[in-house]
Order: sequence, then structure tokens, then C-alpha cells
Amino acid sequence: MKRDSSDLSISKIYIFLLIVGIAGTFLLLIYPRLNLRVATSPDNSDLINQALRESVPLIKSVWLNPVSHVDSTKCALPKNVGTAYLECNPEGWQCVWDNIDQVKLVLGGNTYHIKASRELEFVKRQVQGVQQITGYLGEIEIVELNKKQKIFLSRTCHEVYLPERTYAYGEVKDLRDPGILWDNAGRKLFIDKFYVSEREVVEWRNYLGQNSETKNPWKPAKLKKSEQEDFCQFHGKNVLMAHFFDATQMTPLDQKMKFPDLVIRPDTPWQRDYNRTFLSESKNPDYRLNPRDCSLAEVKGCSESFFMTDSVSWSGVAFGLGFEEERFYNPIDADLDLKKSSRFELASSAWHKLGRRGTSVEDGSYSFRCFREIL
Amino acid sequence: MIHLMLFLFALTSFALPDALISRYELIETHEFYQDNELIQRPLDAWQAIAAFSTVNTDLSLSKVCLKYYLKSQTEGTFRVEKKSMTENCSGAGEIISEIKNLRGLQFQRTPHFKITFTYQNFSTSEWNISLRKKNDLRLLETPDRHLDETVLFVSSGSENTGLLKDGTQCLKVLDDCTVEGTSVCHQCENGFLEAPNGCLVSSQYCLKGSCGKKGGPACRRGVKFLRKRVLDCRTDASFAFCEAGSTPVCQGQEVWCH
Repeated sequence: MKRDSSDLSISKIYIFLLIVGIAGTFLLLIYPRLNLRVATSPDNSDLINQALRESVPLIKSVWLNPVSHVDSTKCALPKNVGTAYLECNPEGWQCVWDNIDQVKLVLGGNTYHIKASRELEFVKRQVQGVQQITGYLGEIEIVELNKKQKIFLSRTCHEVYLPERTYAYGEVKDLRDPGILWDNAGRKLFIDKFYVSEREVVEWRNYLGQNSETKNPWKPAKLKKSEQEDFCQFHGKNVLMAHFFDATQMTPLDQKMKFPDLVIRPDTPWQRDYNRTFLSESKNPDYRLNPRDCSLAEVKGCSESFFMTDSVSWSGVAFGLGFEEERFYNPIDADLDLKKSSRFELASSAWHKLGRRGTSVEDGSYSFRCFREIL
Repeated sequence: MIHLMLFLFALTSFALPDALISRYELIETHEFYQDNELIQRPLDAWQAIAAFSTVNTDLSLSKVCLKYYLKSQTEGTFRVEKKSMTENCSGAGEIISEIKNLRGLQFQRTPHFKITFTYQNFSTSEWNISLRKKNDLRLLETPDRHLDETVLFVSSGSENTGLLKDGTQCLKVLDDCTVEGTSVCHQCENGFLEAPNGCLVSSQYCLKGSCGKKGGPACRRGVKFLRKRVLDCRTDASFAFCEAGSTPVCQGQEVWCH
């Protein structure tokens, strides 16, 4: 009897194990498939959210500073083009993903790999929505979590804030003359750091359905006045105003005093005393331009360079003197709308002074940049 | 047995929906509940816990409402609904996620928005929803950093709210410099211009073109450089200017060019 009863017990155990096995198989393999829409492990769902959140600085870094992920020599940039060209630019993004398959994200001691779509789609917002009006759409993937996510990348990394201060406009004949002063208290103004490039103009024109291309996308685009206005407006901006440009270039005497009664106008962005600059020294016929001179102000005799940052002023805006003839909108003196200081003028030219402007040719095409105000 | 319970618990928990991964801003939260307070009333009614805006692929925004329904003090249903930005959370919307038979629900607003779900077996899970942080502006700051919009997650969807036409006032500032509401100027079809009124922030209008042109608002020269406590257009409009050929004219306190 004892033996029978123990056999029965063993049979019960086998049956129990069989039921648990079948139930386990059902729960492990079949049930989750029936509930794919909602059944995700809590750890995994939170992990995906966390990994996406943590991936943002990494994606930002690839977008804003691609050369920190790939050697710039792999991006087919000529030597006279600065790596700033690749920043928040689809070309920089593509260069990274052409050369590396994925980037690593370390989270909670585990390593995850992020891949991204090489191609970015240029988009313009046509309906009410986020603050940005134009930018790019792409996709990233967190490989280990099998999570793909669409992303929007903004192209504003080359705009800099103009601090709220009192600024001077243009030139004065007498140093004791305060000239025209103005201030931007209460305004959040952002100025383009570089000229609008041919790449941006091609992208704009192609978006509008006009077939356009360029072999030198880093070169400053030269557009007519109405085209400049249309381009800036397309991006939710306006053509840079002359007094804003002066503000970006004339280094304040006292950074701490924001609204002084008197504002001194320096002649150059990098040296208050004009007589101590190479522009003044070049009046000596024996003076020879050196590379440093040309990096500060590209004047006649310098070789061309693009997207270099050596000439940036106190505010971070480049190309204050020399480089291209640049057209502004000048509501104070409508005729003085052109920065004549450029690579077409000898270093000794009188045009190489901040605030000094000439008149643009009607229907002429010039380099330009935009500004935007954020409320 | 514990493993089996954990597994069953896993089957009843939910992933954060894409619409909340692509959240943009926290629009509203329930004003009554304190952070991490267990929601126990009212019974038999839906209540909105919070609402977020979420970014669609066309860069439009939709509203995502997080709602909770208490059948009894120990049984509730949590729902995520997607709606257009103009709709109120109280009405029914497109259900994108639902968790039934919850024992409890709590939420906290800071440092990020967190919802804690308690299930009938007393196990818990969380949704952590981080928020954009607008940064203060300093020298060399960029708009993307200021707005925290360099990288945005987007989810499928679209909203067809047209952009604002030229002439629409997108920010109203009263003569006493009181700002009414918030700016919607980034929704203008052709950009916007301010009509200087001597205040730090002036009224803004959806308008194409540049300031200082005939028929449009004047350009602002500033509000500090004149060293006056009050700037009144009718006594001295020199805080604004127009292009040569047009004259500054006061319209109320605003300066326009005629």
C-alpha cells in the first residue's frame, strides 16, 4: 500500500511539473505575443525612456561638434575651410556616420550602441508648433533595446546672443561726440556668426523646388537684396541690421557696466588702437602680410578661407573687417548699407574701420547674414 | 512562485508611449494634489492629472492628457489620451495607453514629472518624464541652448492649425507695460515685428519685412539710453525711429512710421 501511495505521489508531482511546464511555456512564449502592444517588461520600458533621455547629449555632440567623433580629414574639407562648417550641418552629421557605425552610450554600467540615419531631411514648419521654424528630421536607433526614434535637429548653433547693453552705431568724427547710441534692453537678439553659405541657399532653393547646386558649399552666398530678405524670412529671421553688426564688433570698454552714457568706438574688433594693428603698419610699403594678419582680417593679398573662427569678436561674431563685402539693412542711414572693408581692399585701405560703410549697388549681389529675435 | 508573480506583474505594466517620449512642455498639472499624494477621490469620475504638449513629425504640437478614473478607493484606471492643442482634457480623446485595475496612483512635478503606479499586488512601476529646461542667456549663448531645442524627439502625427496671418497681434503689451498672456509670435506665417512703446517688451505683430518702413512699426532705439524713467511717445518718441522718408507717429504709445 505504501509503495502504491508513493507511486501516486510521484505521479502527482510529474503531473504538477507538466502543468507548470505547459503554463510556463504559454506565459513565456505565447502570451507575450498576444499582448505585444502593451506587455513590455517594466525594466525595459523605463530603460528605453532613460536611454533615449541619456542619448540626447551624445546626439547633440555628434550634431554640434562632429569633429569630436571623427577626424576632420575624413570629411573631405579643403584646408582653407574651418571645421565650424561641419557644426549643425548635415554634411558633418553624414561624415560622422560614414566613418563610424555607432556611438557608445554607457548607462548604469552597461554599454549601449546608438546608430543614426545618415540622411537628414530638411523641414520647414508649415503649421503652428515648436519654436523652431526650420531644421532637420532624422532617426536614431538604440541597438540593444531595438528602439528606433525619430528626431528633430535644429540649426541654430551658429547664432550668438547679443547681450543686453547700450551700444554705439557707426562712426564719429570727433571722439568727444557721443554719436548715435542705442540699447537692446529687454530683447533677446541672436546674430549669425558667419555669412549665409552657398549650401544653405542651395538647400533653401531646392526646398522651394528650384533646382540648385554648388561645388563650394562653404563659400559665402551672394544674393540680391530681395533674395536676402526672402532667405532670412524663410528661416523666421531678418537681414542683419547695420547697428546690430556694429554692436557685435565694437568691444565694450567696461563689460560690467551695461548701460553707460558714453560708448567708445574701437576701430577694429581685436585692437582698440588702430595704430597698433597690421592695417596701420601695412601703410609701410615694406610690410608683408602674414597668416595671422589674414586670419584676423582677410584683405587683398590674403588667400581665401571660410568658416575660420580666428576673427571672432567679443560677441562671437566673425568677419568684422576684411573678408567679404557685406550688405546690411540700415534703417538709420539707408544709403550706408555696405561694409566695404573686404578681401578686395588692400590692408592699408581706409575702409578697414568698424562702423565705416558705403553704398551697395542697386540689384547687386552681396554676402549677408540674418538675425532673429526670440520672445 | 515569486518569479511567476514578477512575470505576471511585468505583463501588466506599460511602456511610456511615444507621444510622451516626444514631450515638449508640461502644459498643466492637477492643482489640488500635492507631490506624491495618493489619489483617492473623487470616485466615479475622470480627472486630468497632467497635460503635456508633444512634438509631431511636422513640428506641430499635440496635447497628451494623463487621466485617472477611480472606481473605488482601491481600484482605478489610468489613461493617456492624445488631443489637439486647443481641446480640453475633460472630453474624450484618442486613447493611446491604458492601465486598468490599479490600486493606487501618485505623481510628482519636480525635478522631473514622475508617475508612480501601484498594482493590486502592491508592486509598483514608474514613468519618468523629463522636461525641457530653458537656460538663462549669457554671452555666446545660442538659441538652441536657450530654448533647449537642439534635439527633439518626434512622434508620428500632425496638427493642421494654420500659421498666423500678417497683421495679427501676437503679443499684447498695454500702455503701462503690462504684458498680457504669452507670445505666439513664433506661429506667424511671415515673421513678426515689434511696435516700440517705450517698454522693455513691446507689442508684437505678425508682419513681413523690416522695422522702420513706411506703414509699418518703427525700429526700437532702446529704453535705457535716454535715462528717463518713463518713455511717452506723445512727449518724446526718440526711443524709436523710422527710415529716412517716413515719420514716426504715435498710435497710442506705439510708434509707427507714416
